[in-house]
Parts: sequence; structure tokens; C-alpha cells
Amino acid sequence: MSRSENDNSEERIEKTARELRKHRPRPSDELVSRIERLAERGAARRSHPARIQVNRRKLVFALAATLSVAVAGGIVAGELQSTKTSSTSALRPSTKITSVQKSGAPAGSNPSTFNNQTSGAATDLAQSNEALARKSVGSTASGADSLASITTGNRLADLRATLLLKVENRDQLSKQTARAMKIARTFSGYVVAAQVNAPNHGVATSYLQLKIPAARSQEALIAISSLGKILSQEISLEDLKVAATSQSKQILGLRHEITSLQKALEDPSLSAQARSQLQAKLEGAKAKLGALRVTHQQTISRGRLATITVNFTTGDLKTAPAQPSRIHKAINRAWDGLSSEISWAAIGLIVASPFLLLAALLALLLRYRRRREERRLLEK
Amino acid sequence: MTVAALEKRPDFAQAAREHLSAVHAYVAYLVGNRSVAEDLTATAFEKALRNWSRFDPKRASARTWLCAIARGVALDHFRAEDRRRRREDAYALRQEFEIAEPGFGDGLSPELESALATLSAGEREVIALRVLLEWDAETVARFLGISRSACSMRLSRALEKLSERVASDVEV
Repeated sequence: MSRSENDNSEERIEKTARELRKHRPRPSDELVSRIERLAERGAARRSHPARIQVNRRKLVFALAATLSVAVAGGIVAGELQSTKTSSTSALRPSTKITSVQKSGAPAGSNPSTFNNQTSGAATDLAQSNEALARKSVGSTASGADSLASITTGNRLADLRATLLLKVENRDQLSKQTARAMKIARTFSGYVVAAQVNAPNHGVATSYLQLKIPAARSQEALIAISSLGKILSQEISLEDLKVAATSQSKQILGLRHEITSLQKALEDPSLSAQARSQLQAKLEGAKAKLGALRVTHQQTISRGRLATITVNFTTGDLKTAPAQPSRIHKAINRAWDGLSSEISWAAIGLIVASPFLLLAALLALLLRYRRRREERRLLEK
Repeated sequence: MTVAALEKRPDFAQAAREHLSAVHAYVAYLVGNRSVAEDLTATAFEKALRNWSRFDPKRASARTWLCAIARGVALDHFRAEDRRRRREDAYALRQEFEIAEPGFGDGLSPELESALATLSAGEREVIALRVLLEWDAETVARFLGISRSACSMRLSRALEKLSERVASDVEV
């Protein structure tokens, strides 16, 4: 196309556009009056409050508020969780109780646990067990005194003690392990399990589980604790007297029941049905009595023998971390709560993501179809 | 919406009076039928009145918003017409109602009128927006959901086609 043709074409287009602008369609009077009526209706509505729309600033505020609520929720959740944990642990009977039964009196039906970690109470290795025991009482005041006070007395009780003792080297470790076994036999006890782990390099350890007659457990504990430097000790005492008495009463009751049932069965006037019922009852009572006797026996043997677990080591205990401050605790709890919220949100997102993806695909498909349809309609 | 934005917002009566002519011209070019355009314009304004609380002057001007509503109404009309045609095709009773009253403006030359009628609705739409309403290319592209270059291309092709058809009609 030449330049003049081009100019002509542009001029023609410009002329057409001018004509179109000049003869722009005007609304009829009827339409104008219809719109006027609508405008009046619109003016009457003016006093109505406008619908509040969400703009970006509000969205930002809403997001910030949501985040704040999430953080506050995290703090509250953390606090609640910690409260729950502490209350649960207070109620749980098997949890270690840190208070020490000073009087030596039985602790009722609840088990008492004494837990102590000490690093300063050094003990010299003595020649004889007796001498060592005497020394230990003097030097490890906090440990041995409490050992002396935690006793079963005359009551039936389940005593369990765990000691972690430090020795100087591997040779000492073997020697003291052997001595602990000897002490157990001296006090008419026996070794349940023994394990020595002494590598060429690093920390050597040994593990012993001893059963000592309850009546001599106190002496045995003192003797064993003098074999090394006490790093930690844990002693639990569970009174079994109440349980044993209750079992004895139940056994007595069952015996009476069996006797009366046997007498009743001797009656010749009994009907066959009543006889078979009584027979079944008798069998049940006998079975129950047998089971109860076994349990009673186990309870008594638990009370007769104390379990002492001794761990020897050549290494030191790791130093306990410093107690975190209140702010640190609050931050930790808040973080715990927040992370649990995040994990729940992530779970929700993972579960919902396929549906969200499908919804997004559907929306895209619908949009594409709508656009295509619009294009088709406008091309006509 | 802030208080300032609410204060700035024109009321419906003012917007309707101000933009009736533009919206009507746009609809008339889109559908190519005067009486249908009048009905659709009225329908569009009724819809606008119902949804006036949703209008946000920050997002678009009142004229653009009203034209968008009018476009939706016109597309609904096209859809209905399309369904009607298909239904009537099935029963072989099709009638060309839309031929009855073409009208793109009083005083237009018959050649230009008939040339406009031969253009597609999409082509007439871009002419109405760019030439009659004198919107800038950016606004029109955003309004139609196409790129700016596609919008310019569509306009130049439509005008070229229109002027060619006018020229050929005059020569005949």
C-alpha cells in the first residue's frame, strides 16, 4: 500500500469516527423518564447506610488481628497444657514424689519416693564393708541419713532403690561391682542381674539388680552407697500392709463362703437346678480363692525382699540445665501452643488441599468457558 | 470503605443522569437494535440501583461500573437469544426479530448504518467504547479483559472494516 493510499485510508477512518461521534445514539424520552423515576428511587434510598466493603487496609488489620489471636491462643493453650500436666502428675500415684518421709513411718497406701542427686559427697574406699558403711553415714550426710530414714520398719512394704555411684577407674569399677554383689550375699540377698561394660576408652559402667531381705535393706543400702561417690539416688517405698490385709480378709471371706456352700450342697433336699447353681458358685469361689492366694503370696514376697539397683560409672553426670526464667517459660509455652496451632493448620491444609486444588481448577475452567462463550456471543 | 470515600461517592440519581447517554450508546452499539437497547439500558440501571451499595469509586468510575453492568445484561440477552434461536431451529420456526429495528444513531448515513450492522458485536463494542465514549486504550483493555495491544488491534481492524464497507457501499 502506497503512502497516499495509507493517508486516504486513515482519513477515511477518521471521517467515519467523526460521523459516528456526531450521530451518537440518544436515549428516547421514554427511557429518560424511566431512568428519572429510577433516579428518584435511588435518591430516596440515599439515607440508607452504604454497604461496608472490605478493603486492603481492613484485610491487613484483620490478618494482624488473626495473628495476635493465634499468638494469644498459643500462650493460653501452653498455659492450659502446663496446668493440665502438673495436675495430672499430682494425681498419678506412680509418679515420683519428691517429699521425703522423714519419720520412717510407713507412707500409707501411696508409694513414697526419695530422689536425690549429689556431687559433693565424696567417699573414700575403705577396706571393709562395715567400716565403709560407718564412714558413709558421716560423709554423705544428705544421702546416708535419708537412706537410714527410709526403711520399711515392721510393716510390709515394697522398697525399691536405685543408686548411681561414681568410681575412679575401670579397675575400681570391677572391684566395687564385685563388692556390691558380695554385700548382697552378706545380707542374705542375691543378685538378679549383673552387667559390666568397660571399654578401653571412654566411660565404663556396670549395672546390678539385687534382692535383699527387707529387714536388712537399710544396712545393705548404706554399705552399697559407700562403694563410690553418690551421683544420684532414688528410693521408693510402697506400703503393702493395707493391700495384704485386704487380701487376707478377702481370702477369709472366700473360705467362709466355700464352707457354707459345701454345707448347703450336703443338703439332700436340694433340687437339681439349685444344686448345679450352688456347684457353679462353689467352683467360682474356689477359683477366686486360688487367684487371690497367688496375689497375696506375691504381695508378701514383694514386701519381704527389697530391690536395689546399683549403677557404677567412671564418668560424671551431665550438669543440669539452668532453670529457665518465667519469661522463657512463657515464651516456650507460647511457642508450643503456636506450633501446635500451626501443625493443626498444616494438617487442615493438607487435608483440604486436594479439594482446594479441585475448586481452583473448576473455577478456572468455569472462567475459561464463560470467556469463550462471551467471545462466541460477541463474534456474532 | 473509608468515610472520605463514602463522602466522595456520587449518589445513584446523579450518576444515572450523568451517564445514561453513554451507557445507552454503548448498549445500542453492542446489541444493534434500538428498542432492545432501550430495554436493556433500563434493566441495567435497575440492576445498578439494586447493587449501588457495592459500587466502590476507588476501583472504577461510576461510568465504567455502569457500563460493566450493562455489558453483563447485554451478554445475558445474547445468551437468551442464542437459546431462543437454538430452540426455534429445532422446531423450524426461526424469525429474525432483530432485523426489525436496527439503529445506531439518528442521522447516520444508511451506508454507515448497514456497515455497522455487518460488524460483530465485539467489534461494535470496541468502537463504542473507544470512539463514542472516548475511553483510553488502557481502560478499554481492562474493561474487556484483554491486552492493550489486542484492544488497539481490534479497534483498528473494526474501523478499517467499517470504512471499507462504507466505501464499497458508496461505490455500488
